[in-house]
Amino acid sequence: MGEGARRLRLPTTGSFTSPLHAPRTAAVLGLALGLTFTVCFLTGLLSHLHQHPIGWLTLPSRPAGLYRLSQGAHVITGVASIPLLLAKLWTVYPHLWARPVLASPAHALERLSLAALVGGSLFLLFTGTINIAYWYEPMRFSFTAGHYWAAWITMGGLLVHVGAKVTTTRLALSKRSPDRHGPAGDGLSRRGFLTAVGLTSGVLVVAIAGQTVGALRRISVLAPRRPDAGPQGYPVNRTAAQAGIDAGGADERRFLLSVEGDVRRPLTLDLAQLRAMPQREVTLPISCVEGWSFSARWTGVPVTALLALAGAADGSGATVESMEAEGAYRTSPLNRLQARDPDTLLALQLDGQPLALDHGFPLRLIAPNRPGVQQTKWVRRIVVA
Amino acid sequence: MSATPSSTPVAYPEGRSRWFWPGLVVGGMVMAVGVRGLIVNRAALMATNPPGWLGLWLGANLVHDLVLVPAVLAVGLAVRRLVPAPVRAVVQAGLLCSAVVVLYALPLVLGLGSTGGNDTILPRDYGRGLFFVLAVVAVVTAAAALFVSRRPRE
Ligand code: HEM
Repeated sequence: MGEGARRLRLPTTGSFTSPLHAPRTAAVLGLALGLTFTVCFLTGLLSHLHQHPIGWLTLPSRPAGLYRLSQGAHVITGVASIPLLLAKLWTVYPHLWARPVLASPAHALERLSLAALVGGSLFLLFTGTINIAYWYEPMRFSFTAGHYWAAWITMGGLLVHVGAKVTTTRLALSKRSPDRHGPAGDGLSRRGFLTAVGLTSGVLVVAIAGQTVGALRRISVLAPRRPDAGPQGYPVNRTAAQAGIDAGGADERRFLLSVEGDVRRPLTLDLAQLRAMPQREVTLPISCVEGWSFSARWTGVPVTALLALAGAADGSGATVESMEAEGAYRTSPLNRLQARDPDTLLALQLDGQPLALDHGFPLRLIAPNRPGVQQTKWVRRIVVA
Repeated sequence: MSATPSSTPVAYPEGRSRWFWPGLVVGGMVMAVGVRGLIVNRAALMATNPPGWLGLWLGANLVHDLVLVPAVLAVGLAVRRLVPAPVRAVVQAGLLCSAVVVLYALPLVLGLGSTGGNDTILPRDYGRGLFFVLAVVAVVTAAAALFVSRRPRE
């Protein structure tokens, strides 16, 4: 590139001379991305199903740490994909300038689906990254909804791409690959390039994983969250002030919990009555949709005990409601498996101390295998259904 | 596995893979699910707002294709002119790693995130964090450069 470019001319595929722009490089990176994007898609889908349950699929309440693992993996794998994607797009960049621009209807369809794949991949990694960095201005849409539908478009583009490239990829990765012993350039070799890209993914993983892998918390200097700092030593997703709850609203003398809906004996309980019930202690994680998490010891009243006291039918589900006046996470559903799990509690204590207001004083939901945004805080009502 | 494994290179096939059309049909249906979702939820409680969505989609792509990659190519040419061959590969690797880490860390370091008064959000000094990571990458790169430049040439 460069020599003799006296006037501005658009490049063509042949303008790019690095031997790294080759099918074998693209195939290795493509395989890695196919893997990481599949992990992201499946873990993302699981997260979506928790938050938008569908009738015929009752998600299990076990294993208790599954959501923590899958959402932590979503964000870590997504961030690890950043170097992979940038390297892949750099490798195939010459094809962006292919001539003729559109050679046939099939070629046009392929390029259109590539636009979906490339565009969607950049969109997903960009919106995901700025979302965990709490930078919302570039997104003039709900992050969750925009990111979710983009994931479908991207995965569709990926399927088309796999169909278009499966033959070439197999050859590129085989012993008979024409560019297996590619011409040595005067810079990074293919192996060196791929190693550098992989190491970069590793650096990013170590730099952020400590927000969910406790052992790394001190060295994850670029993690948006710390699992070990905040009220009572733990972070919070939304403070009481952000949720519009003040100490007066959560006044413990006036506090009443009601259990109503499809029950034989609707209940109204004050804090003294809740504290007088048999208490259960569980160690469960708060696992945020943003991929950070911490585990803690919670003490409180099992939801099963409350449902039994109210005379709810076996196999009931319930909706847990907060004192919050508004917001998408003011209520959260418990399906029949979650409602019946003995470890699903309305917690009064965190690590043996009354809950801090920011952790949901006087009463919060804590249940196994569940996104943190659904561990409703400042609970005041359970509606059985 | 084929019965006659061989390591004689063969040329890449011309024309379309026979899996192209099946892939297009299946992938096209999956893409259609996404496009439909965008449109149906355009003004839902969690709105997709297609114009804003498309704006970011196109914006991200234009910035990548017309700014980011050309910048990388320009740096690549500069490295080729300025850095002597024995250590060039190592320098390229170090730059690649540093650039991607900077790109990831930029919103954190510039403080673009909004914490809404919640001090458990973005609690670290990200400028220091980035400096620390880049320092580690630089030291490793320098050590590797020293190593390869001392190695006897074959
Ligand atoms: C840097 C990379 C990424 C990051 C940081 C990231 C982050 C996130 C976060 C924080 C959520 C939770 C949204 C919420 O419930 O509020 C999420 C959901 C999701 N992500 Fe990603 N993501 C990334 C890449 C990807 C990729 C590559 C895919 C697909 C191939 C993907 C697919 C999904 C899906 C399907 C959801 C579920 C959305 C919903 O609940 O409706 N993500 N992601």
